[in-house]
Parts: sequence; structure tokens; C-alpha cells
Amino acid sequence: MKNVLKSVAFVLIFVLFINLITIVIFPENSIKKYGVVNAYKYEILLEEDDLIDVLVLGDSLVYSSYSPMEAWDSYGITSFDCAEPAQVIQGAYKYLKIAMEKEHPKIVVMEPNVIFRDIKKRKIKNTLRTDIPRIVPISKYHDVWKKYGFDGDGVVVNANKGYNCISRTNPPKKPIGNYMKPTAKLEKIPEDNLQYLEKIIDMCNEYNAKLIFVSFPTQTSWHDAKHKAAEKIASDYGIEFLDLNLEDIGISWGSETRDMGQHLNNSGAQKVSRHLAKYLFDTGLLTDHRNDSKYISWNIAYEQYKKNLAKS
Amino acid sequence: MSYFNTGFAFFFVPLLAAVYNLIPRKTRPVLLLIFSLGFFFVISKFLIAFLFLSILSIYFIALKLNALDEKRDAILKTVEKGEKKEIKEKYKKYKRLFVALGIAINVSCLIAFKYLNFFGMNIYGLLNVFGADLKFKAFKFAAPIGISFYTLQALAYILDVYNGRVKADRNILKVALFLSFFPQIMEGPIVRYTDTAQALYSGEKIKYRDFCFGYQRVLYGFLKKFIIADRLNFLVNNVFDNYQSFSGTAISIGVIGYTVMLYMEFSGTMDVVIGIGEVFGIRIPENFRQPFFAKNISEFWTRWHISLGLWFKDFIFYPVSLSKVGKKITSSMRKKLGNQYGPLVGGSIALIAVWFLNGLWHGAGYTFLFYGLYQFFMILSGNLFEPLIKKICAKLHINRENIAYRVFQSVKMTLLVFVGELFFFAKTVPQGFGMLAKIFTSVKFSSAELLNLGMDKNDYLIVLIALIFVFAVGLLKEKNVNIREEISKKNIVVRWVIYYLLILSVVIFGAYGPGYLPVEPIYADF
Amino acid sequence: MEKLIEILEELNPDVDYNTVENLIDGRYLDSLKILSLIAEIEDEFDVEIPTVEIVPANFNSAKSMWALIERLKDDE
Repeated sequence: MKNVLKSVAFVLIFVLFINLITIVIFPENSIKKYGVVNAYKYEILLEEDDLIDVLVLGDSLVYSSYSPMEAWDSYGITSFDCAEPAQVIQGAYKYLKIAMEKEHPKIVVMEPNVIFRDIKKRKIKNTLRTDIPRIVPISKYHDVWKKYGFDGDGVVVNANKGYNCISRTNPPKKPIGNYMKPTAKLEKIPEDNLQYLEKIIDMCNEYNAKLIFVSFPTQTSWHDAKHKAAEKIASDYGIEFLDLNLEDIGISWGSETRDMGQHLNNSGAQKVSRHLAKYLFDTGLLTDHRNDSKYISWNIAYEQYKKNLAKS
Repeated sequence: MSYFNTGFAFFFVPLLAAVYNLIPRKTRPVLLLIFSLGFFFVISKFLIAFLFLSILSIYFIALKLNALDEKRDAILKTVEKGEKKEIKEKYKKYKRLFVALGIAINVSCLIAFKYLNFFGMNIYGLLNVFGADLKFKAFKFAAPIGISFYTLQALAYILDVYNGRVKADRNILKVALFLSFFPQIMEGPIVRYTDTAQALYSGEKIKYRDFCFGYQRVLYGFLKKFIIADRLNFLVNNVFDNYQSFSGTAISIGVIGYTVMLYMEFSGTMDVVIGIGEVFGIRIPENFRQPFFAKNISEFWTRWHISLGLWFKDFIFYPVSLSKVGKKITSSMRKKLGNQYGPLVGGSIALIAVWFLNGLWHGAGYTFLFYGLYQFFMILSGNLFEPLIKKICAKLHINRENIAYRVFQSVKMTLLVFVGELFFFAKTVPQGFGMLAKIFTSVKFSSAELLNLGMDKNDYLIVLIALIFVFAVGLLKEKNVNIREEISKKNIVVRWVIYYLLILSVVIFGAYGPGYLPVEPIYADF
Repeated sequence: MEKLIEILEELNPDVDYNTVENLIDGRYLDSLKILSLIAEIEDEFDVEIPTVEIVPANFNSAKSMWALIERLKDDE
């Protein structure tokens, strides 16, 4: 028994220790301001205030399909993936609130799959891979020590801007074909979700940001019934809707998906990101910041991002 | 799947340990077996049938061998002295038949999974030379996990029973657990029945001390793999993939990096394996013993992947060199060449067989065969030159036990190992030579190039510091200091601070997450 | 026993065979030397050493080697 207590004490002191160290060595003020756990959950809190012009809300489709750094490279757009695995609309609202207050963006992109997800039926796989970082948040940004080493100024811990680099290819066993076959059905929307959507719309109005629905290419998580339902809501509320599943982006599903058609890999995401970046830039609401000295950290981050891509 | 999966090492294994401790003693080995088979199934799915085939074949053949022994002994008691020899011979033949069957079953599975493509490709190639116009279509299938390891372990069991070193076990669960024990299944060590079977089946309660010591060992393995091996991985692959575009200096760094990475990954895995074994009170034999402190290549192989070396020594080297033919060669050559070089002839024949098979065991490919032959030549030339070096040293009054000389020997040996591992990892043998040539012909030094290989200054620094740490630990081990024992004598504050520092350095300086490319388990593929 | 030590000294003269007890584990005798040693012993003492007996325990000291030879002689 004594030994069990000792082991428990060992683990508790460890967790305490590591959180202390996280706070001490993180140079970003936001960690001190918002706390370690929040900064882990809402990565945007590690960004500088008011530099980001586009927020992208949504689930894993967002962080697998849209890489903000590609948009930076092609149009000088500053954007950020405010995405969580299997995000529900309540979560999207919460994230949006935090991100809005910090960044005051010009455009909010929302991935409409979130609207169909029922918070009561939400299945989130609690794997250890996601749990351990939650207990030990620094494991996600542990490279921050390099800021105190050689060339510390060139170190960016959050260079991917919410995007998840995965280069692995794992195509569907049999080609899926046309997954957008027209149907007469409308996907059902869980009760409370519209209420939250209205809250999101209100907040965008309050901060004077344009809300756009963008659906990202996926062969297994999207179909015509969802498209039609999303289209209807978009027209009801007067929101712009871009369904990338219907656009000609040139995704080759034989080589550009990492999990049999559900999510894209780096190569697919590059195509989507550049396509969407053009669309966003064409709205005329955004400015190219590439030569703006205030945004130098984004140029540094891009270098780091390229390395991360190569190593993924 | 890898033993370095944090969830596996720090969640499932402790959970298993807790359950193990709570259930009755008799059921504990069964739990280990179920967990082991489950582990195998998770990775290899229905290929587990081949593991079962191995288990069943060695179990029944071993029993049959024992039965034959008993029958023979019973008959021997009843007959006259003159007939004994004949009966012994007769039973020896029977036994050989069954051993051959066991070897055939197990080896054919191994060949089917690992070598068909290689042999097929070569046979087609040969046929095409003679005018046949055939296209070779490679089979694509995954092999059962750890087949190279458990097959050798299975063979060792029936050969040991055949030789009378081990008595066949009537308990099939024990044999099954011996062969499939989850920490060893993927990357060895290849253990013998007498090493672990008894402890595996005893079901002793886990001791707190074993648990702590075991996890300290696991932690050391994580440190080697996460801080060093994973950090080097991208650089090494980058250099080997694009060596044409790099200078000799960059290539040397890549080559040294590969050997370091291989050692840290493989010996780190062994630390985890042996540590987990220790948690359950099972002393798995060491697979590494500070290999880079060896005097020469021959000694290196008694310190690196020890269990594989011992297997080849016991089941290939001695049986070949001490076979009737081998002995004849040895005795006739000794008469002609004397005692120094005489045995070398027979020995070399056995040695070449060992290294041919050792190369092949690592994989079907010319680089592996070349690697094996390289080791053979290094060991052989070491033996050939030994008398000469001895004379030179005596002439120059060099004391060969002297520290400086020992360091010189180890450095020379290490350089030879780098070259061997270069061929081991090269895609083709010509690529290996190309890289080797470039090291000497394109000597340029540009710090910008070295910082562009995939590690920045901070990374180089961390690798250096971590290597010094590992070296210091090795030095203490070489001096027979039991480090964990020494630490456990200190008071609790000192002890815990040491552990926290080590864990924290893995968490902070580990090369994981975005921007790093972790090493896949290297030996699990062999 | 003296004859055995003579054989051993011929193989590696730098060892005191009366005291050293880790001839194998201490790498005083490597596997090639073991080959010569076995050939010598088999010639000299007229025994046959089966491969099963080639384990460190039997070759770590001159004493254990001698015990092995005696045992094999009895078996004949």
C-alpha cells in the first residue's frame, strides 16, 4: 500500500512539475494569460494579437484539408485552423468567441459538417495519443526550448497554424466513384444546433466579419443530402456557400487521401488550400501581408512549415 | 506498433501488471499468454495462424524426440553391449528425421514470407539471361510480426531438445508463452528455453523493486530512442537518399549518424523489452554489452545483437566446424599450417556460412549479403594479422593493455563498423561504394550544408550531450557498476530529482511531434 | 591436467590457467581458438567432444575442461 501511495505521489508531483516548467519556459504571454490547458486546446492563443484575417472553424476535415501556410505562400493571407476532432457546433462557438476577441478577423470560414453533428451522439475517440498531451501540454510544443538555444529568434513553435501535416497515402480499397450522387433527401439537423448557428452569425456581425460556409473534399463524410441541407440553411440565413466537393480541384483519390477517402493528405491539402486561398482573396476583403514587416514571423514560420512538411 | 508507443509502455503494461498481481498465481501465466497472443493479433491479424503452427510443431516434435529417447533407453537396458551402438544409431536417425521435419516446417514459413520474392526475382533474371522473356511479379504481403525472431527461437528449442540440453515440455501453454511473450516477439532477444520459460510460467507476484527497476530501464530506452535516434532519422535518410548532391563531410555525418541511430534504436528497444520483462520478474538476457568498447570486429559481434550471434555460434558455427568433414579439414590443415593458421581454414568455412546466413537473415538483398561477407572478411583478417600485430607491438614496445592502445583499437574497430553499416543501409551495393568513395574524394566543409541536412545547431548539441551521457553510462556498466542499484541507495529526494530530470529531458528534448520524423522499429522488419 | 595446460599455453600464453575462471566470458579464448583447442584435446586424450558440450561452463577454466575430459572418458 505504501508503495502504491508512493507511486501516485510520484506521478502527481511529476504533473505539477511539468506544468510549472511549461509556464516558465514558454515565452508567449498568452500561456500565462490563458493558462496552459487552454493554450493547448485553443492553439490560436499562441498567436500574436490581431494578425490573423481568416478563421477556419470545423472538425478534422479542416485541419486535414486546409493549410494556412499554403495560403500565406500564394496570397499572403493570414489564416488559422480553429479545428477540433469531431467538433460540435457548441465547440465551434466557444472557439470562435476566443479567437474573435483575440484576432478580430475579416472572414470566418465554417465547415458545415459541424452543423449536422449531434452533441449527444458525438463519439470522440479518447485515445492516449490525445489524452497524454492534455495532461502534459508541453509535449505538443516541447521544441520551445530551442528559443533559448542557438538562433532562438528563428524558432516558431506553431508554424503549421493548426494544420496537421500528414503525408501518408492510403487510398480506398475500391475506388468510391461519385459520392455526390443527387438525392431528394435532406440531412437532418439536431434541434439545438440552429440556435448555436444563429449565435455564431450574430457574433460575426458584431465583429464585422464575413461568414462563409466551405465544405472540404471528403468521399465518406459528405454527400448530396448534406449538401442540399447546407445549401438550404445558407440561403435561409444569407450565407455564402462554397462546396469544394463539387469544385474541380483535381484531387486524385488514389494518391491524395490518408485514410481511404475520408481525409486528404499533404498533397491533396495543398491543392485545396491554394484553391480556397484564391477564392478568399478574390472577395477583396483581404490584404497581402507578405512584405509587411509586422508579419515577419509568418515568413519565418513558413520556412519552418516547409521543414515540417518534408519530415511528415 | 512499436514498444515506444507511450500508451503501450505507460498505460497497457502497468494495467496488465496490476491485473497480473490481483489474480491467483496459477492464472498469471495464462494472462501473459492471452495478452501476448492479443498483442500479436492486433499487429498481424490472422497471420497468427503461422505462430500457432510454429508452437504446435515444436511442441509435438519435442515431445516425440523425448519419447524416442525414452524408448531407446528402455531398449538399451535389455540388450547386450555389442548391439548398443547399432540401436543408438538407429534412434539417432529417427530423431534426425523429426528434427528435420520441425526445421522444414518453420524454415519454410520464414522463406515463404521473406525470401520468395528475392529468389523468384533472381530465378526469373537467370531465365531471362537464357532467352526466356518473363516478367517477375512480386508478391505483396506482410509477414507475421517477428517471424525472423520467433522462428530462430523455435528452432533453438527443438535443437536443444534434440541435443539433450533441454527436456521437452509437456505443458503446451508454457511452450506457447515462451515463443510468443509480447515484449520479445517483435525484435527479440532470441532467447533459449532455459533462459525464460521457467520464470515466465512461475507466476511470481510482481515485486515493487522489480517494477521500479524495470521502468527505469524502460525510461533509459525511451531516452536513447526519442532524444537521439528520432532526431537523426531525417538527416540519415536525407543523406542516403540524395548522397550525390552532398559533400563527403555531409556523407560521413550521415553514415556515422546511421550507426548511432541504429544502435540507439535497437539497444533502446532492448532496454524497453528487458525492462518490461523485469517488471514481471523475468530476466531476459542482454542483447547488447557496450559494443563500441570492443577491441576488434570479432569481439564486437559478441557485444552487439548477442542473442543472434550466440544462435549462429551454437547452431551453425560449431556444428559445421566440428562436423566430420570440418574436423578432418582442421586436423589436416593443422599439420600443414601449424596451430595458428590451421584451424582458421575449417573455422573460416564455418564462419562464412554463419555470415552468409546472418546477412540473409536480415533480409533478402545483396546489400545484406555484402554486409555479412564484409564482417566475415574483417574477422578473418583480424585473425590473420593478429600474430603480425603482436610482433610489431613487441618490437615497438607497445603495451597492448595500455589505455591509449585500447582506445586506438576501439576507434579503429568503430570506423570499420561504420563502413559495414553503410552497406547495410545503402539501397544497393554500388550506392554503398559510391558513398564510400565520395567520403574520401569530396572533402569539403561547409557549416551551411551541415545545418541543411535536417538538424539545426540545437539538434547537434542535444545529440552530442545525450551521446556523452550514454557513453558515461556505458563506461560505468563496463566497470561493472550497477547504476540503478547505486541510485536506489540515495535518499528519496535525490532519487526522485534524478528520475524527474530524465523524464523531463525526454519530454522536452525528445524529437517527436511536428518537425520530426520518428524511426520506425528497424529490427521488426528483419 | 598438465598436458591440458600445456595445450592452452600454446594457444594463448598470456593467461595463468591455474587461476583464471572466465576464459570464455573474458574472451581469452575466442571461437576459433576453441576449434584448435578441441582438435588438440581430441587428439591428445582420445575423446570426442560433442557440440552440445561446447558451452562456457565447460570451457571457462582449465579445471572445468579437465572435468569435461574425465567425464567424456568415462562415457566411452
